[in-house]
Amino acid sequence: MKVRLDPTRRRRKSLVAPPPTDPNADDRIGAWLDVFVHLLHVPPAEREAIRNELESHLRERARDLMLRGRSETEAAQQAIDELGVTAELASRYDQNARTRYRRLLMHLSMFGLVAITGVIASIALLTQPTSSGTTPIHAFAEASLQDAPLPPLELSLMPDQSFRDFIDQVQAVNGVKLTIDYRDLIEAGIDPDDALNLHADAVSLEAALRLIEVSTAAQLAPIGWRFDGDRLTISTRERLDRQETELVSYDLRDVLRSIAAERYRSLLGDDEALDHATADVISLLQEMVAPNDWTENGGNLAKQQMVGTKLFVQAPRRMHEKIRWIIEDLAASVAHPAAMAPKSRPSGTPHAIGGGSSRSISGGGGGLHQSRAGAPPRSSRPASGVVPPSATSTP
Amino acid sequence: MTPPARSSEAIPAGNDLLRGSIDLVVLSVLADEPLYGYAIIKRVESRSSGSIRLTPGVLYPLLHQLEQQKLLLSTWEMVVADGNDDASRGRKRKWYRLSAKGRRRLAKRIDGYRAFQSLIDSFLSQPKSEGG
Repeated sequence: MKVRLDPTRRRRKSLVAPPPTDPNADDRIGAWLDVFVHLLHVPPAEREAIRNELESHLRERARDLMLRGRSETEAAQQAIDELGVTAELASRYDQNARTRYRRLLMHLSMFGLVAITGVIASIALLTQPTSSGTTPIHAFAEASLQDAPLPPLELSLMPDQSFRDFIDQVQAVNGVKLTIDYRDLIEAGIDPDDALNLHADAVSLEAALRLIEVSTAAQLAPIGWRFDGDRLTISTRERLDRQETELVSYDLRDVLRSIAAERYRSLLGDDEALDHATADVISLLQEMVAPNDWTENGGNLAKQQMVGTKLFVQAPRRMHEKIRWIIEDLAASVAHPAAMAPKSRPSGTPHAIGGGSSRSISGGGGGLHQSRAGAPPRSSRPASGVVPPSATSTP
Repeated sequence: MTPPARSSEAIPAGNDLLRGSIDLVVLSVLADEPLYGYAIIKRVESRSSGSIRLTPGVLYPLLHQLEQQKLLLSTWEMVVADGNDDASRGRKRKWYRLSAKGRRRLAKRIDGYRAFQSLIDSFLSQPKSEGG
């Protein structure tokens, strides 16, 4: 590899002796790098690589400046200053890492996270303490967000079989009523008449759909389905999400007051503390619940608006389940424990939070109130370890 | 390629037009040959006759991002000695080159840029009295 950057500069460097190094000068570059890498939120190996690259830049740049007559200290300081505000630089790297993490999460959620989380949640429920008065393990089961359970069919996939053949097979095996949105599936990259080039014996309908998804461009627009016990609808998950988008309002009064008081009130005024608490909660939701789907994060499925202490969220139903869980969990830490425990909770059953429309969780009022416009709420999912509160429908 | 005439003022890195095209500029200079960060800054400055000065605070995170997107590939070089600068010995330098994916992205970005430029040109060349 031959690299010639600036022959003139190179010649001059070889002719002009570098300024003498001041042995008493502080190693500003080393000190700055030590501080900078502590601001990075990236894996250690990546942090080391970033440090090495910036150190190389800073020392080479400082040397160029010294050749132009700057002192060693001045040159080092100017090279550092040219990088801009240290925290902003670190946040640019962190932003890259966050984007990559989100992508990873998106892929994991498509291919495996669901199953792993389901197993973890099941273990959590099995190991839940049952004696009265103990705190139950409070975990959200990601599995509950997934597509509805499919009829227990056993199918086979043959290499020359097309998606249309596959659908015919599903119908022939069970006689299930089907609604297939072919237009969306074509957009997702599934040509109904192309050979699937898959071979699998005795697989479930869900496994077969996942195999088709992974082997086609549908990974980019994942397949979704709904089975209401009678009719099976297959489309893209995005289309189904859009059909199930709901506007829900969450009353965060007590949650925000509590966070503001605990974290910010000693440092800030009331209003400012409340603003910071609001930002914390919204940031938590947008990082934890389908981060790629929020408009603020570049998505196009979910949006939120805060009015006073009420949070309005327009999002697919699956997202509301998780939002509700997080807010309930925050509310639970605000409420008095005695007010949380259902009086007649049978030993060993999952802990229920909320449970009535506009129900106050804390003894003093406020807590979590919900109202929603759109489709009725999904049925409770005791298996998830959380029984969502019923919501008030808004016409 | 003929370098543009030197402008009286450098375009600041925060300029809106430039900000949206920095990746295009970086991918373009790396399409010619592998370079390391500081060399990219110098190359861009020399090719634009001093009009474009990439700030390292923008360039390095961008290189990091492009590498994560697999648009760039990198290798580390142990600097033996830079001229008679003994202090550079043992320092690591990270060289970047365009991946196949990066070349495809560059081609796509160039097409997009040209289409956008031609669209804007069509407005700029309209006669003032049209429709009047």
